[in-house]
Amino acid sequence: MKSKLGIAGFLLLMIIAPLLVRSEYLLNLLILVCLYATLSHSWNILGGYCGQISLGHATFFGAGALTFRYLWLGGVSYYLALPAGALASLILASAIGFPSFKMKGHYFSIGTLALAMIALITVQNLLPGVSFITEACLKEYSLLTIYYLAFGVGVLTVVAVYALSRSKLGLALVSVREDEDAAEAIGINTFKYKVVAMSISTVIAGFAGGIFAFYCGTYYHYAPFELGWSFDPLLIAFIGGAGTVVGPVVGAVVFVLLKELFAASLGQVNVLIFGIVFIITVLFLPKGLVGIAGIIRKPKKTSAVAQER
Amino acid sequence: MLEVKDVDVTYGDIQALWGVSFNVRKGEMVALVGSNGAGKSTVLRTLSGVQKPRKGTITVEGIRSDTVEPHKVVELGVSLVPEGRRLFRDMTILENLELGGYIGRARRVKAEHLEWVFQMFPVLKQRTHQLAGTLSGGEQQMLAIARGLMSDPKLLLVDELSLGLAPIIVKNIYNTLKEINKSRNVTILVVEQNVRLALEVGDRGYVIENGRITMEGSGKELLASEAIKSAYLAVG
Amino acid sequence: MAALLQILSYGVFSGALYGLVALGLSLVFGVMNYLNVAHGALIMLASYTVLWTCYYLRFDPFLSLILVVPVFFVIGWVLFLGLFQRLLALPETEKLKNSLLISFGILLICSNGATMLWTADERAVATSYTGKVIDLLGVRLPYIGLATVLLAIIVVLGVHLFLTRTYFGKAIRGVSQDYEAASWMGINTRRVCLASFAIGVALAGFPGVVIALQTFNPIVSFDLTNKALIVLILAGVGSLRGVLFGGLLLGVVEAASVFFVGVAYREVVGLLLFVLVLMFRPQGLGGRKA
Repeated sequence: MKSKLGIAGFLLLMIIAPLLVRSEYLLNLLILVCLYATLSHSWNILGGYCGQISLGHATFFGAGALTFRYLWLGGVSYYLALPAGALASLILASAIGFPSFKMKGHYFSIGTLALAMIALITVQNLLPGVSFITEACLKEYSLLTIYYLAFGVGVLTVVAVYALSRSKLGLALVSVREDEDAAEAIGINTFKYKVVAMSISTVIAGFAGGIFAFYCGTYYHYAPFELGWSFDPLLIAFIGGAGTVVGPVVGAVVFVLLKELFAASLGQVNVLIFGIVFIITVLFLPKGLVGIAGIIRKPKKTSAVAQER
Repeated sequence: MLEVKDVDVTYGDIQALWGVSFNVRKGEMVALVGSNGAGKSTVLRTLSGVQKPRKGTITVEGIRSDTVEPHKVVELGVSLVPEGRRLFRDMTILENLELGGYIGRARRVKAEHLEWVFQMFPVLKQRTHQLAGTLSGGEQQMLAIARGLMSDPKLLLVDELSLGLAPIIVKNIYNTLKEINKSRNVTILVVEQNVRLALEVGDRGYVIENGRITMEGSGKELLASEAIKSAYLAVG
Repeated sequence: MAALLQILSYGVFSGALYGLVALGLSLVFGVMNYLNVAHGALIMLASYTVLWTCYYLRFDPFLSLILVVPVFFVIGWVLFLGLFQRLLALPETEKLKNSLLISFGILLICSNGATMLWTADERAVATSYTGKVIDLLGVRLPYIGLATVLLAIIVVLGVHLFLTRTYFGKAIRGVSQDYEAASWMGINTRRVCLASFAIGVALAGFPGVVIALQTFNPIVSFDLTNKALIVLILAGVGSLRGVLFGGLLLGVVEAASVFFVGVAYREVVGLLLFVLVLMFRPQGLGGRKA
């Protein structure tokens, strides 16, 4: 009961905060947190729960962004363009994503990376130019709208992952992650579950892409296809805690804050620091930052589990 | 020369060995027999150092071997001929033998040892440059034993050599082992599922059941005992 | 005809480079099942090391190898002790996944660190023979390209001889075929892994020189890792003998695609080939069925 009240209070705060504190700076940060949390959760469903470590999520993010931008600039309103982007992402997944499950384990990882590079180069070649917002669309552009949209999508995503984590489907995905052969042996159709995981994952990535295309004023068409959009959600999920509901959200907050903190300095210090934190996480915190909370709360139980592994 | 005292081995939550104790004296050929899953291979894995006991000690000529890394166990003079041969399949017969004699003191007497194992297993000598993976099952087993001998061991551990081989070949290989034992004074511990065969060639034997040593005695005594007859020798 | 030969020759030159790029990655993967995706970043760092050695010590780039290779051997040694050693005890799939993730972190750190230190500007080492060519029946063969092919042959041959003619080389092969059985031979498997990793990283020095002679910047890391992975898969996983073949295949296919599809999609053709092989023949073109 207490936690439910807490969550309700948090949601309410997130909704009214931008109205109380009229700061564009804060709004920008919040939008970024929502965007990264959503994208990271998209990766998390496939990589964290189902164990299929994709290094090519930018493709689906980009497909969502591209579709949204074209429809929106073409006069379609944003609330129709957003699901259309998600749909486009899903269609692309069925064309290239599902066949990629022919590649298993690490082959899947490097294969999806290759696919993402193919997508990036192709878009660079076909659409080398910059995408501007038209006069007509500029009227619709409001940070507050974008924030509420990003927040709504983010909350829905977290709720979806929460439901997933407590469902039979979630259990099946975890069994595929833990031991694919064993899951296959006890009659779980691993291919089917991977396809389901990727479908949910890519739809969410498409939504995130749409929000990016809504939020960013002017950018190169290929920008949402860049490799960073594949790598960042993975880093965020791992640092926060892959395969958990809270992890990617925590990771996204840390990521955006670090990015902001070092934005003024030369180069990409934040990526450097994030890389170091990432390695430490993989080596010492297999459950990410969320895992630390668990260690502090129940030290005995966690260490026993760690020994078993 | 080999003294195993009160050894427990666990794999995660599952205990595979319970207070296993036995010994092998210098120059002996001892058989450790038991059915599938009784813990025989666990004993050898533990002796070879890749599996650490949770409790108990293992000493080789008075030196503790259960606390050191597997490659140090080889330097103590213990050599394993593993179950399933585990040859380096993409390497030649000669290379397999060279790796068998990898440790320093064995390298110095490489030529001598090669001559010796080729005399023991002449079939290997004719094809020193053939890949191990292309040999027949019997030849692979001979190569595995020859490889195990290349490190100049005082104690040779042989795991399930009869597995998947024709009886006549198994018989021959056991005869060769016996000869190695007698003429070169190499102490041998064989682990076998084929109880009759192992007890026939072994000076002494131990029976392992469900991770515990349940019987011991000379090969002849064990073969004659009713318990063994009914449990292991009933058919054939 | 001459045009086609010209393209083919470029394919061979870049193919030899790709073979060199993949060599270290392939060695490490074969021996201990680590997928070191940081290899491209290490090559990039080697290129900078070559650059600074040539700049400050006025060395010829190829001569700088006597410095660069030992330095990267030490770097590999340290990386293994610091980060990769603790993965050895993990089960195979965990080992692979964790090595992939950790080296991925290293890749990000190195490429961003290099950008911060040395900017993203394109660099190159200029020599007296840069741009010089031999004209052979109308086909122009650059000195540097020929040197690359020669270097690739020497290095691959050297590694091959080391692995087949020395006790330690044989121990490395033994460990790669059966880790546990190797320990039963009295081989210190942990040390073999340490040395193989250090050698694998040291091998980054050779492609580092060739890259330094072309234009490069920190971002090239990703491209190099990518090329190394493609060659690894084409060659057959863990097959060192296949590496040169895989590199040449990729080089020639890329060069041919410039001719037939256009330069814009040069990379795509190689990547497509990669994905197709991953899907339908993951043991590689040269590898046997597992």
